Amino acid sequence: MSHTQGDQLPVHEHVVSQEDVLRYAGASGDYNRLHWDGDFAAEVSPTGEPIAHGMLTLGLLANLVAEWAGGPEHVLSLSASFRAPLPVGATVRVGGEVVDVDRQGGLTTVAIWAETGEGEKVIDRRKSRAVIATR
Amino acid sequence: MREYALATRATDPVYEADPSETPPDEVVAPLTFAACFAAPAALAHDPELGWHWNLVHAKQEYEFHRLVRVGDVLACTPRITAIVSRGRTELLTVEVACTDPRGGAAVVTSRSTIAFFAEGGG
Repeated sequence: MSHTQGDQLPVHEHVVSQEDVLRYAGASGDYNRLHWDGDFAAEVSPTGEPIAHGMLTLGLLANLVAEWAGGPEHVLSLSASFRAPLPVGATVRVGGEVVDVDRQGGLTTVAIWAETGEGEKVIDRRKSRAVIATR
Repeated sequence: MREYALATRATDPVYEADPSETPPDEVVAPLTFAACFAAPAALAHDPELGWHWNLVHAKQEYEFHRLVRVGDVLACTPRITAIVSRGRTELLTVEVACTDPRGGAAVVTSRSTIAFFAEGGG
């Protein structure tokens, strides 16, 4: 696969529902009340409302990266810096941009990001990377 | 794994396939499925740590050494690598090394940084 600096991954858009968040909680075992209990969230959530697991957003993003890379076996590493919360029920857009191509080493580095429909940065592209093996 | 794949909108049809007709070792886990077995909350019951739930996930890194498949047995060892105070917030970094118990080869390494906000311990 040949990549060029500046290549964009396709942008995927999802609405993360309470059902998605409950399913994620059940699958991952992360039942923190912040994600589903309105009374608890009113006290501790940065938005005062239930918010999605950061890892749910990174999961959406990782699936995009794996698909773009030609399969999860090509993804060597992921790093993500979580910034803005994603309110339950909100739209999230995930994407990426190739920022470095090491042809000799066979490595492509992608700046990955996620943002709400309003443009709030959920995963900060300045500090979030995926490294792809290209051979 | 199927529920995890559904929640994160994995598009591989293998997750919707009839499990009785799909050899388990042909089902590859979504990359971040590691969150299910390499989560720092494994340390939540350590009485010395004073874990509480007024927290957010601040940072996450994974190194993937090989794919994880249905039926894999992994040995996961959590290790606290940093505790940093920043004002009223405490940042805990936990590294979880997941290896194949037969031979010890690395499978996935997770590094999570959790921000605990002032309240009780932390």
